[in-house]
Amino acid sequence: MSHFGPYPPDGGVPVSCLGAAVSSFGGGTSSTCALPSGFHNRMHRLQGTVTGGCRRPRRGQLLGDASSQVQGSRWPAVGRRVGGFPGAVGRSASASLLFVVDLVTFMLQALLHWWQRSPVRNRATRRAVVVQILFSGVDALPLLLLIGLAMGMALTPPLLMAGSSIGESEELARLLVVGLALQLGPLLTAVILIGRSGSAIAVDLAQMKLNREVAALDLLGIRLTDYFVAPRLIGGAISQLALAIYFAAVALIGGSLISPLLLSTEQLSLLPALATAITPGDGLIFIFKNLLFGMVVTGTACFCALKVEVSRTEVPQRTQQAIASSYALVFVIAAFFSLLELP
Amino acid sequence: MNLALQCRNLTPAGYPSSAAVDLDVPAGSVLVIAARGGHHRNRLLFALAGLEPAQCQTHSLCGVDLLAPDRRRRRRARNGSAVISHAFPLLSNLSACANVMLPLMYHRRMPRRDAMAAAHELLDAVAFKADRDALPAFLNQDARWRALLARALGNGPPILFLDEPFELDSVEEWRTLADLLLAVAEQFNCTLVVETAHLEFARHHADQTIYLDAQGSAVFSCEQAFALTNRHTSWVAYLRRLGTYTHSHAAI
Repeated sequence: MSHFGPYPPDGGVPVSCLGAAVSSFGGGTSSTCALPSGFHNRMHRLQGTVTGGCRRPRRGQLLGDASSQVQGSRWPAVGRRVGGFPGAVGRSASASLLFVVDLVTFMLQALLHWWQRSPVRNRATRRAVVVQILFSGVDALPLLLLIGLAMGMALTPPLLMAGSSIGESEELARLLVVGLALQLGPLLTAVILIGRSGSAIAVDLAQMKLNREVAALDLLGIRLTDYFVAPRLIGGAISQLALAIYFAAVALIGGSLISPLLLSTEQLSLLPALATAITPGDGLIFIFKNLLFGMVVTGTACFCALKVEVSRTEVPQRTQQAIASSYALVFVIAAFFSLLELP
Repeated sequence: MNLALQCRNLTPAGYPSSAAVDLDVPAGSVLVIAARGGHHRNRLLFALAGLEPAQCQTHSLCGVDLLAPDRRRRRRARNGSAVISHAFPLLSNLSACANVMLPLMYHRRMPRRDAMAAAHELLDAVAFKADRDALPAFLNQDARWRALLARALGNGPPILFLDEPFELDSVEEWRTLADLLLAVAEQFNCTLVVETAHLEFARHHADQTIYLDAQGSAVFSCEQAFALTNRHTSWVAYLRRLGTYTHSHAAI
């Protein structure tokens, strides 16, 4: 009589399980399979083998492990591990590159669709942009005020003391503007934007996708990229730029006002010099960098959140991925812009 | 005859082959898919609406061939119809009124004030009694369902696919909702495709009825539906509980 499925007709061990057990022990007999797996682990440890009999083999590693067990030498396995390191680095680098390519494509596609639907006249998406600016920009102002003042107070007096040997107030002002406003300001603002808005957007969109609200939008004929992604990109970029300007102003003015109390009243002469220390080129790079930061932060959040498929456990994973990727991208872009600004 | 929905030999993916459906649904009529819960009836409804994959020879929705290669036209036809189901809920971060306003502002590009007035009219039309500025999480299921209906009507759909509208209603209350549905269909000139376990609605208001038997296969008459079941199945017990299993059925 024929039978179907993994269980034999006499009620014994399922065939597939038996096969898996046999293969995992490298062709062991049925008596080995009857022993608990922990026994084999302990035995391999006692024998000093590197590969470990019951460890799950990696992809493509099964043949190598078996041969090393046959030879009984640890060097082939060690050599494979050392040799596999560049491969792992290459895989990780190519995955990161593909992530960036996908992200850029996703953002450009969203902006293109949004632009095709004449966004100025479409009130639903225009309102989504305004709401995003309110949430990301306006609501963050008190926090930015506090952090900007603190950074200004913490960094301006030491910078002025260190730069006092230069003597000229214009050069001191330039040092402050470049260090505090043009370099540190956008980075700190982007970090705050990631913490406040990037995580919120990622969780919000991931939950929407899990609750099938995204499918409902699609059913209504509303493109997610038009209604959700592009407004987040535009709103995030505008918010980042506004917050960075606000941060720079608060940090520079606050620092310049507090330093006379700590150092000397001559530092007050810095205030008019600060306004003339920014060149048009600096301003353009500042604007472009901040717009890019804002788009990258919100775009990464949307991109990672839309990868959620079925389970709620994916929400924190994707949020974490969005935050970590945003940090990495923002710092890499900042480094790239710093290199561009070099004379 | 103007057909709102037409299909030949339609079989939702994963269905038994005996469940192929042939339909000609005239505009303004009522089609009911009658079945117990859990018998793939959602899949048949969604397949008819063009949302689920299906095998068929012809399938047209409001005159648009859903098998045609013109993807944009198919999408427009699919979005033109409205599927009202808790599987496609309201946006959780918008109030009930804002949810109804959304398609009006997006598709019709209404100013906010006009969209709000139109949304209130739609909510009045579906007898929405709850707080209109409340988020969906603070609405009960009935209010959420009515808001879904109002939101769908905002696009002016020629055909409404309704997924179990009588889920929570008692036997006394279903008539009110049934009257509301028929009134809405007449007011907005819609064809109704209703999937429900409520056989009384099918008996009183359906122009055509598809019965799904206990195996999820489609049968086209009440006689066939009950002939395929025997009185010892849970299906018959369920009908007895509803009070819709009569001696005439037993005789069949």
